[in-house]
Amino acid sequence: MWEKMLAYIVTHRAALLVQTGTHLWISLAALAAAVLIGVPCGYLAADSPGMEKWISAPFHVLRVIPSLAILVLLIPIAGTGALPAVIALTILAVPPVLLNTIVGFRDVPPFMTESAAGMGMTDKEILRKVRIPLAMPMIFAGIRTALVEVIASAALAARIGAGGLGEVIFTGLGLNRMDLLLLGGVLVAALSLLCGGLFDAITGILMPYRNLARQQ
Amino acid sequence: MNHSSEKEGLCAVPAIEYRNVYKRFDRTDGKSLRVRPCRKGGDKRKKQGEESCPDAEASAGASSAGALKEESGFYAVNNLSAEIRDGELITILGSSGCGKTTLLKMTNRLYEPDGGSILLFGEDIQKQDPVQLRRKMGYVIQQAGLFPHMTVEDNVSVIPRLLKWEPARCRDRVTELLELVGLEPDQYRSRYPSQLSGGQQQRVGLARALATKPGVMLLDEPFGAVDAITRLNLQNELLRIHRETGGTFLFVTHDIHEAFRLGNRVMIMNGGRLLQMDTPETIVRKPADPFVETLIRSAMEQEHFWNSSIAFDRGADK
Repeated sequence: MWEKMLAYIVTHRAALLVQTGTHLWISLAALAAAVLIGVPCGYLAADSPGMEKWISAPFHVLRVIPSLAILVLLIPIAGTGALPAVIALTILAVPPVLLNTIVGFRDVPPFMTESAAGMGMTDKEILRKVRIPLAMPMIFAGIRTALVEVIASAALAARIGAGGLGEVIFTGLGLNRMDLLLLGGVLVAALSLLCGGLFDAITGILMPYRNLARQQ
Repeated sequence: MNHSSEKEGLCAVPAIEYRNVYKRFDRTDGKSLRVRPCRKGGDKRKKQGEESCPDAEASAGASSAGALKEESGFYAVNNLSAEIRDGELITILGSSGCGKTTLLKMTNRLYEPDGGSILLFGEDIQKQDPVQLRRKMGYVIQQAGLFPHMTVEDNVSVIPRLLKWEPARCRDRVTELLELVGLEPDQYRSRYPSQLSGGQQQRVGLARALATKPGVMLLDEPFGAVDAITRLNLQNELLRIHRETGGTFLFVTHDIHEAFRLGNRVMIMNGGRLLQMDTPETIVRKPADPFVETLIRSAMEQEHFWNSSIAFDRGADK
């Protein structure tokens, strides 16, 4: 089995690299879209409880629908290929980003914003200098969750011809080849873990004070 | 206008003057403070709309009766007038809920009064831009309120940097301020707040509030959360800082010893009213109100406890 897998890697090196690349860009595009949607919406929802229901409910409903079903449902609208895959993955990725953004902004202690206001910061300055930085760790945690989820689920994109490492898995399914199934699965999992780790490293560099706080 | 110019002729304009200040609180008031996201306010208001009759208070359940009582509102500050001269260190003493913090927060317009006016050096603060007003005042709170994502240096120089001071000037000011509050600048400037003790955090909070040399400092129980020994040190430092900077300090506390030790005059508040405002000695000699009398007696009883238990200790030694 291992030999077969290794042999496949060696013979299909170029194809695997392309598939990994496609997998990554589909995932990252979806993640970027989710951040662009989730963070501003989360900020709005955090400030007005009335708005929260209207913002988060649609995403909760959409999230219940399996990604595969969304992919198939999107075919008449967005056709096949990368676009419907990115849309389906975005829908999957928005809720963790959105929810963590809401919690992140809500968890900024009122005395912190009040102290900032009392010092003579304008609302904009408070947002930029205090609220966003303090919400950031939570938002990043949400993005990380979404990232891992999206990379894992992007394997499905191969089903509608978007490419990616899912192709290896679906080829394995089609040919009933255990080695390909396993190889695809392992590669997707490895990619997901690798990106998660990379993301943690970036977070650590951006927010050095968080590690200090943990030590105490 | 006429009134204030008349005063100028007689004596120096008071640093802060409260004229018949009222502040009423009810549930909806949380909204007036935009910086505070109100969490469940929306839902609760709706519920009360459904119940809709305030007369039903007696028949309603215990929890909703409480809510209705809050809804009907109460005066946190009730017809308060006072004059604070430039350079004074005033302590505002009262138990929790007496309106002392509300009074302080109205002074820098975190809250707006419902009636009366507050004058800063003769000018109505209601006519000033709140942001500009607050930059003329230092503000320190009990939790210090240091920003955890900024180093001590960045925390202290937040407002100078927003005012676009030169980096070198910011740096010099931070050095100066950290020395003033008794922290070794080079040792502490690049630390994060989580690496400081509670007392050190308060020192940094003080330094931050003093950054732009404000004429007025508002201190809201700044030493409420530090241990007794640290508090004593901080009190001494505060007295020294007050001497060195020469500003007007308003210091809110619920600790009678702290209030009488620090203030050159003490404002005693209860239930939103100002009961007495005088030097500590006068208050002790001539309490103007039964509440003040009780307060002083309780403090003396405490003192008595300490003295008698020391005597007991000595007796036991023999």
